[in-house]
Amino acid sequence: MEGSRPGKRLPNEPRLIEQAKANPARFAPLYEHYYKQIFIFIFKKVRDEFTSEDITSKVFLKALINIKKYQERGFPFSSWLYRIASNEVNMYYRQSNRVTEVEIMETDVITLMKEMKEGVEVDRQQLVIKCLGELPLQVSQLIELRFFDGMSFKEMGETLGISHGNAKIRLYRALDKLKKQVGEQGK
Amino acid sequence: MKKYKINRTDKENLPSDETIEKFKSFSKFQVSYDEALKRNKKPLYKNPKMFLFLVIIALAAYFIATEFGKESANEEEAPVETTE
Repeated sequence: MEGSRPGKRLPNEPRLIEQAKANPARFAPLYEHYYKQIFIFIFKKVRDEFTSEDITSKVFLKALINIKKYQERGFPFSSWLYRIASNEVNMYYRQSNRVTEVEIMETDVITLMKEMKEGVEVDRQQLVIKCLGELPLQVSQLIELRFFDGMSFKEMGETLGISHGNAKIRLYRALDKLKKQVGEQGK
Repeated sequence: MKKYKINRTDKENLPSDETIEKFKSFSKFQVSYDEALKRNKKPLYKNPKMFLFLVIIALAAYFIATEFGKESANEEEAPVETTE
């Protein structure tokens, strides 16, 4: 789970944001600091360097264009970037006609299956990821953020623009849906 | 559409730091930002507030013109007083 989790805030981040609002050229420190983690977050979902570069540019572009609307609510600036990135990735999936293969680590799948109280045999793992791919994007996104991007409920809430309690509730609903689907297809 | 694939090795396939650094360029980003701003510049009439303002100006100009036209027509038609 290297690099894609919301990292530490930049020192004086609120001041840098205010400066960027007044002068777009002052956006550079934020861009330099968050580029890598946003790029990796996107890469993990699209598995193509050039597509990741393209989407990452769009994310920062949207962030800078709308920076005047950004309000400091005590969350790191990265959570806003992650929210834009999630939306852009979802848009990419909707617009793309080809099937995107998303690679996930076996250890992450096992953690997910343990949370679902499922056996972790290889054929069961294949069934779980097949069912995960069939879930609506908004549902699978919750599972991805938690188990494959390694976010805490607080970070998930910040990324999705909801409270951490709500993020937890939605995640467990998503896991129930996945479990139900696995149960139906595994019969 | 997406399909998940399990990586059963210990190493995650991610681009190297050099590759990411190659893509990261704030000067290139600024050019895209300037272009996006130019593209996004809407004509004045597409802004709802500005549209309303232009409509009010046009209506005011129309009423002033019609009222002024009526007054000048009345002046022209007014009977000429004769002193006998």
